Amino acid sequence: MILILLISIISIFIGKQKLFVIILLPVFWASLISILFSIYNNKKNIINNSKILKYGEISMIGLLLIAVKYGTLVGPHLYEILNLSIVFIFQELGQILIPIIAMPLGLLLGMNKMALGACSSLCREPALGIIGEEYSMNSEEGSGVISMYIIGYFIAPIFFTIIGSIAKYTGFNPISLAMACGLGSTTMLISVSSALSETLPDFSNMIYTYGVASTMLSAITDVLIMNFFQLPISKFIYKRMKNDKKYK
Amino acid sequence: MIKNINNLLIICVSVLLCHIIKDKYIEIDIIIGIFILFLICITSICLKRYIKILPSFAICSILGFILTMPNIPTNFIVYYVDKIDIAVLTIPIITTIGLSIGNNIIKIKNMSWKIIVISLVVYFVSYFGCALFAEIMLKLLN
Repeated sequence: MILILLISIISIFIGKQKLFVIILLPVFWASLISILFSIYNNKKNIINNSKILKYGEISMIGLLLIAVKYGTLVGPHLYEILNLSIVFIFQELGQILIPIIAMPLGLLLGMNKMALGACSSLCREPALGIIGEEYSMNSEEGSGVISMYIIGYFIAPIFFTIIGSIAKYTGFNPISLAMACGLGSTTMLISVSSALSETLPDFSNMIYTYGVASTMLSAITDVLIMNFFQLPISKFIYKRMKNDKKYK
Repeated sequence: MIKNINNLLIICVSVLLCHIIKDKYIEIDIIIGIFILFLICITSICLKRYIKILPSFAICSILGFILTMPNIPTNFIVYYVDKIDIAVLTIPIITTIGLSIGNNIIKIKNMSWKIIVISLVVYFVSYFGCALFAEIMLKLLN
């Protein structure tokens, strides 16, 4: 517990830093320092294996706190959500394309079980919770999802800025582009919607309001989509491509 | 069960201390807020025994959603829970996750560039997948 506190406090003191387009939050520092500690620990063995397993259990329980917080963010806005059109809810289902396309690619690259964690979803907090509960944090699937989560801090702001600026040329309706901005993470929302409203200045107000509404909705729907669609699809593809019928 | 409560307490105390360090003073509302989160988590761990189909993460967020809906007597908790900054809440939890990687770090190192390729594909598909579904739905409606 002292180690957890020490790293958390250091990252709070480093605070918010800005690097070009990327805004580095304390959460990023916390993950970076703890990963560096893991690498160091691998050589020096300061904390032993049973302790590491215990950290896995603690983090699983801790993610539940984030889940409750997510729920309480949506609850007060119930009426606004009910007023949204059906398109918002349907649009969240677009996420089921992720395992269908990324999963075969991951397996072809030789990621094996790690692909189940990394390729089945966007890999934000809900994915950590579900994969962690199903396979435990210390498993291969768990490390897949964790590495995607952490790499998201670097890559997502840059890549989503690019996506936002090219999205206009796909010929989609600006309304659907605005709705798709809400992917479940605030950093992604900010980078994609600001880039999109640069290229479509007439719609900038609509892009922000739709993006925020869709992000709010995805706090609840992401978990359900992950549990009932994305993970079963990934498992199915894994079983088919690896010929591993016994895999649960 | 006792083990779960113990683990939950470790995280709750860490979150509380992080909040105190960040704000530089102690606020009673935050302590009440964290206690409410703690109670909801315990409830959902108990509920998990009866609801096999949903993971605890989903049960927690749905419970949080239901308890804070307008016109429900329990929605006074919104005031206390809102005081907790989600950025501060995630710091100790992400730290524990980072520490729990442990020896798997070697496997991740071997995968480094593949993870980057996968992440680009996943982000691309997720954005345009959502846009595509919205487009289809809009076309169907009018």
